[in-house]
Amino acid sequence: MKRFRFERFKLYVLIILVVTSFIQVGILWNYQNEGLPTNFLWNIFDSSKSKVPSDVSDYVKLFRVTATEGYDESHFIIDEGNEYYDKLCNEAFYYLTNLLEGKNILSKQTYPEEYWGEVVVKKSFVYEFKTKVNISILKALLNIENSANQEFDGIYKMALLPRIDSNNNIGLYVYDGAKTYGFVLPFNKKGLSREKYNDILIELENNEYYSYVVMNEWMGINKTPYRIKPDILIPRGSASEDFEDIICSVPQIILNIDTNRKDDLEKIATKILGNDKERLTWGVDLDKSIVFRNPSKSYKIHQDGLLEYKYLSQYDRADRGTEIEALERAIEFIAQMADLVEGADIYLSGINSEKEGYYTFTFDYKVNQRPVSFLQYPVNTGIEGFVNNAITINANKKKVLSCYWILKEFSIGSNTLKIRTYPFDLLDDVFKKYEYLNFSNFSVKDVIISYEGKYSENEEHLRPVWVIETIDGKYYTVEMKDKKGE
Amino acid sequence: MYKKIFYIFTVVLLIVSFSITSFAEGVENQKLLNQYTILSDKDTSDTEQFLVTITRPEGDESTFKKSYVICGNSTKDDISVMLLIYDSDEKKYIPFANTDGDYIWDIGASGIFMKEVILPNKGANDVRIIAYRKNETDKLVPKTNLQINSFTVSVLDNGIKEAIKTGFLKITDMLNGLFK
Repeated sequence: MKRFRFERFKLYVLIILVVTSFIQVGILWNYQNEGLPTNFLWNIFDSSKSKVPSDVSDYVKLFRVTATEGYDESHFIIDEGNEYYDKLCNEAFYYLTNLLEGKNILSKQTYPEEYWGEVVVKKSFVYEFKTKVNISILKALLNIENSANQEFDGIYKMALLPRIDSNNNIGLYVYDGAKTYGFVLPFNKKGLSREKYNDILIELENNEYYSYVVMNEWMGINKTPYRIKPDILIPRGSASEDFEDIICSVPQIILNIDTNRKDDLEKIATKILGNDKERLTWGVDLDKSIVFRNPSKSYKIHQDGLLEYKYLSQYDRADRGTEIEALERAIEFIAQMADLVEGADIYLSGINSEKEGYYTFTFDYKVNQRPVSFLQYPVNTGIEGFVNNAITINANKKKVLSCYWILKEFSIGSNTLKIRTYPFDLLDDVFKKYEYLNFSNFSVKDVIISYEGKYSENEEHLRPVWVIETIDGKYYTVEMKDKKGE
Repeated sequence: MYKKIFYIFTVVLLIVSFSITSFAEGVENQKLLNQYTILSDKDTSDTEQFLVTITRPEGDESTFKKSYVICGNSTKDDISVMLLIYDSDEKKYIPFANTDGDYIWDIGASGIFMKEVILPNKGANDVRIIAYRKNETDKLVPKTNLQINSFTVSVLDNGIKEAIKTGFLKITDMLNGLFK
């Protein structure tokens, strides 16, 4: 009897050991892979684990919507506050959905890239993403189940031409950065009519908004000493614009942290890591950055608000997946912490699909519809010496592999900056500032006015600058001058 | 006291010296126009665009706005551009300043220039764009180191624009009606 009891006791101990060893294996497996076979354990124990709702449309947004009456006429930027902005976007997405589903296409034609320059100087409404958006992402954005085969694999910019012919048809032109594709579709019976498009244009002209011109309308296509993309918009004349005084600072939660207090560290851990915090240890580095890590992940929050995330284990190159799958992982990662960035919208600004085993996505901020650029921002850790975007994420279909995120919060000061938007010396100023530039190593892919964010641990008042992006992905900035007499 | 006088004297001297420079520049430019009467002569023939490619105006052009931007580019070094407009009273081309107040400018390192002007006349404005090598002003010779191109930029009345628009709309409406 005594022996039987002892044997039973041994059996219980054995069962406990087997169960705990499974749990231990599960924990380690989870650190390494975050996949099968033991995720269920966490799901059982961690009932509070819920992903922050995120949607592709929260981050894949149009960068700019413009309209013009045609050649030699002003181009107007239609901002999100404009009463027609939503209607115009819905219209564009309606026609784009039809196009991707292969419905109601009356005719189509493919043109070389230069033709895009001709499209944008016709009577048109132009919709631009900041980067070429792949069809798989567009399908997710527009909730399209099945799409027809297309000659193009993504859209960088598109244009609606309400006066394509004398019939009741509309022209939809798609530009993927390399070619232009033209389509004729019937007008949306429930949407804006041709007359309504006219009325919107007349209203834009009458309201005397700041107007722009396509650089090549003045420079001529292929007549310049270096390549200028066919649709670069610059302010039309020697005007000035009012700019808000944008104040940029490190998020309060990071700024107020006392690294000696466990409560403070827990607070930031909850904010940054969510439920992941239970599985990570934390500490403070020599440079006062806060580090959270386990064998497979490392989060580092620097004093200037830079968040550096790294997946430390090996990843399977076969897990690359599609662009949309990887983008969804990136967006889930961002959505978890997006509320740290107050006062700014986050938008997808770049996709690099050339890396083996993962994709690189970049995101940037817009404050009150004005872009904020962080160019040559020092990260001083890892392989990268600097980043050019607010968020740079490497992700595959299963997980985020690394991320640099310049966490900042923004507010509007009481001052108004009167800035001269005089574009005529712009190119000379670029060549003066960057003396190594010459006709063979310079080109213009895009010119935007953006606030310039710089490395700082303190509160900064941002100033608008010209940002010139070249075709080979380099950025040059030129300071904008204050309006004289102000 | 002496110190004060010295400071005032220095300031006056500086102002005068700067004025002399800008005055001298103006005189130099005017000298160029006086020296080469072909620049302002209405009958001077145009040359090829061998120093500067003028991209706007491309030929004789019409516009609805008085504000007009003159553009061009050059891959050559040390090129200056002079802008003139025909004055029917003086019966010759006279300096035509852009909105920066200059009628002569150098083409910068970017190789491109864009200059805004306010066209003075409703209707035809005869402008002349002259390009030359700035270190060869001692002997400017057309087709060698001097380029001369004349254009007419006409400012049209906005009423014409409205008429064109309305006319087009009427025609499209009519066609829509016919083919409904």
